[in-house]
Amino acid sequence: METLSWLFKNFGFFFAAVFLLYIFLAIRSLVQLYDNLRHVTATAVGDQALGFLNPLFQRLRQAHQRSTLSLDPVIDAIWADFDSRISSCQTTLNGYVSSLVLVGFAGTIVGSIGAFREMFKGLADGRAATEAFLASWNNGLSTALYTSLGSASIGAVIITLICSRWMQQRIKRLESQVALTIADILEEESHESQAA
Amino acid sequence: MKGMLTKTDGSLRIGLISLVIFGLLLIIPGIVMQLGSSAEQVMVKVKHKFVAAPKKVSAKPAVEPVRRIPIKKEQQIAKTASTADATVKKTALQPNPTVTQKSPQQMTAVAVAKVPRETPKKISVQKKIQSPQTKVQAQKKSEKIVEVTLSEAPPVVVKPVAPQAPAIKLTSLASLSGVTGETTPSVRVDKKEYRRLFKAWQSAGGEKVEGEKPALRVENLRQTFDSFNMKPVALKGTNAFDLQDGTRLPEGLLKNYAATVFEVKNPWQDWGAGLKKLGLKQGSSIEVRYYMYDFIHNAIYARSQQAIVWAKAQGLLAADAQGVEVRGRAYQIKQQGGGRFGVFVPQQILTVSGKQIKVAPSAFAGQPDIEQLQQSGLL
Repeated sequence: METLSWLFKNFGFFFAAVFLLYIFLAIRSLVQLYDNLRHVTATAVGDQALGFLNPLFQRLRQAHQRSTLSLDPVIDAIWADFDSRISSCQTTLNGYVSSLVLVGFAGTIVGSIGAFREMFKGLADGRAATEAFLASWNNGLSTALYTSLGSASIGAVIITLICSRWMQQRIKRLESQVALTIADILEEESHESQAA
Repeated sequence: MKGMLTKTDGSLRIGLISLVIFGLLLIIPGIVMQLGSSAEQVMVKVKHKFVAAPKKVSAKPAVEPVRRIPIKKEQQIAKTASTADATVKKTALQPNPTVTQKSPQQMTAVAVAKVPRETPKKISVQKKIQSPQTKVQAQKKSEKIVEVTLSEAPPVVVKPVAPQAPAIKLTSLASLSGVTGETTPSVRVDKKEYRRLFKAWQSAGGEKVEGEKPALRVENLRQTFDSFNMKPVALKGTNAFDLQDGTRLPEGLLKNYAATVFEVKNPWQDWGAGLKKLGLKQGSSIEVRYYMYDFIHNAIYARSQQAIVWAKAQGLLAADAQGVEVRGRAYQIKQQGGGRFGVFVPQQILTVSGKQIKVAPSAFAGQPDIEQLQQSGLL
C-alpha cells in the first residue's frame, strides 16, 4: 500500500509503527466518544444517551425505597460509570496527544542523530555535498522531520476535536441530564413515600 | 449496513468502525498520491531496450528478456521488424576474458564518438558529432511521441524471436572494477587522421539500421564505457541520478539521449558502490540504465549487421539464420595531444546452435578505423 510504504520509508519502521498504533487508538477513542454522544442533540437528550446508566438508575430507585444510607454510594457509582464512559475517553485522547508529541520529539532526536552522522561521514569521506545531504536525508533527516510533522498534525487534529464546541456542549448536556435524572428519581420516590 | 455497524443494544461496533476509518485513512491518501503523481517525464522517452537473444549455448548464462517500453505505438508498429529486440550483451570483464561471464553485460552497441574534453577543439568536434544525432532526433521529435511513464509502461514485451531474445544486461562498473589483466586496446593517431576516423565512425552512425538487430556483446565495455559517452543513470521513482558523479539529473536532460537504453538486471550487484554513494539503502528498489546517443547505437548495429552479412556471404552463416549474437571488442582511437573515442569491432558471431564464427577484419573493408587498427596490429 502506497501510504504504508511511504510512512515506513519516511518515518522509519519503528516510528511508523508507533504512529499507526496511536492513530488507531485515537480513532477508537473518538468513535467511542461519538457513540456515547450521538444521541445528544443541541436541544434534547435522547433516552438512549443514558441507556448505559439504566441499571444504576434502577439501583438508585431501589436504594431510595429501602433507605437513604446507600443513596450516596449509588449516586457516586452513577457518576463513576459516567466518567468511565465519557471523561475517560477525553482523558485517553489527551494522553495519546501528549504521547504522540513525545514520540515525535523522540523521532526528531533519533532522526537527527542519524542524519548528522551520515552528513559528517559523507563530508569526511570527501563526498560531494549533494551526496552527503541525500545520504543524510535517507538515513534520518526524513524521520526527524516527518515524525515532528506527524505528531504535531495528529495532535492538533485530536485536540481540535476534543475541544470542539460540538463535543464539549454535548458532554456537558449529558452530565446535566445525568444529574437531572438522579434528581428526578429522588423526587419521584419522595412523592410516592409522601403519598403513601 | 446499520446492522453491520451497530450491536443489538443499539450501540456502535466500535472496533469495526475504528478499523474501517483507519483503513480509509490509509487508502485515501494513497489514492490522492497516485492521482497527484505526474506522468513520468523525467526520463527520456524510451523506445526500446536492448534485449539479448537467448542463446542455447550451455556456457552462456541465461539471459532475461528486457522490458520494452514502447513510447509511440505507431512507431512501434512501423518498427516491428526493425526494432526487434536486440540483445546487447556486454561480457563482464573477467580475469579470463575469453570465459563467458555469468551475467552478460549490456553493451552500448553504439560506439560513441567521445569528444575529448581536454581541448577546446574537442568541443567543436563534439558539436559536429552531435549534428547527425540531432538530425536523427529531430526527425524523431517531429513525430508525436507519447511519453510513457515508468509506471505506465506496458508489461514486459519480448518480441518472439527464434530463439527468444536474450535479456540485455548493462555493464556494471562495479562488477568490472577489480578485473585485472584487461586493458583497452587503443591506437594513437595524429590530429588529421583522428578527425578522418572520427568522421567515418560518426557517419556510420548516421544511417538508420534496418532489419532485425542482433544481440551484441562487447567484451571490454567496462574500460570503454566512457569512450562511448554512455551515461549510467540510476532511477529512483521520478528522480534520476548520474552514477558517474552522483548528481541528480534535472528533468528533461536525458531527452538529449537516444530513446534506446540498456537496463541493468542487478543494479545493486553491478552498481552497488555507486548506488550507496547516492545514499540509497542496500537492496532498495532502483533501476539503472545506460543512455547513449542515437548515432552511436546505429553505428554499432550497422557494424554488427555488416559482420552478419559478411558471414552469410562467406557461407559461414546460414542465410536465414536468426537469433545470432555478435561479439566483439571496443577499441579506442586516441588523438595525439588528447582526445579519444571508441569504436566497436565485431570479432565473433555466435549462432543459436553454439557455433562460433570468427569475423575477419576483411568483413569491414573500407572502414577507416578498422584499417587503422589493422595497421597498428591490434586486429
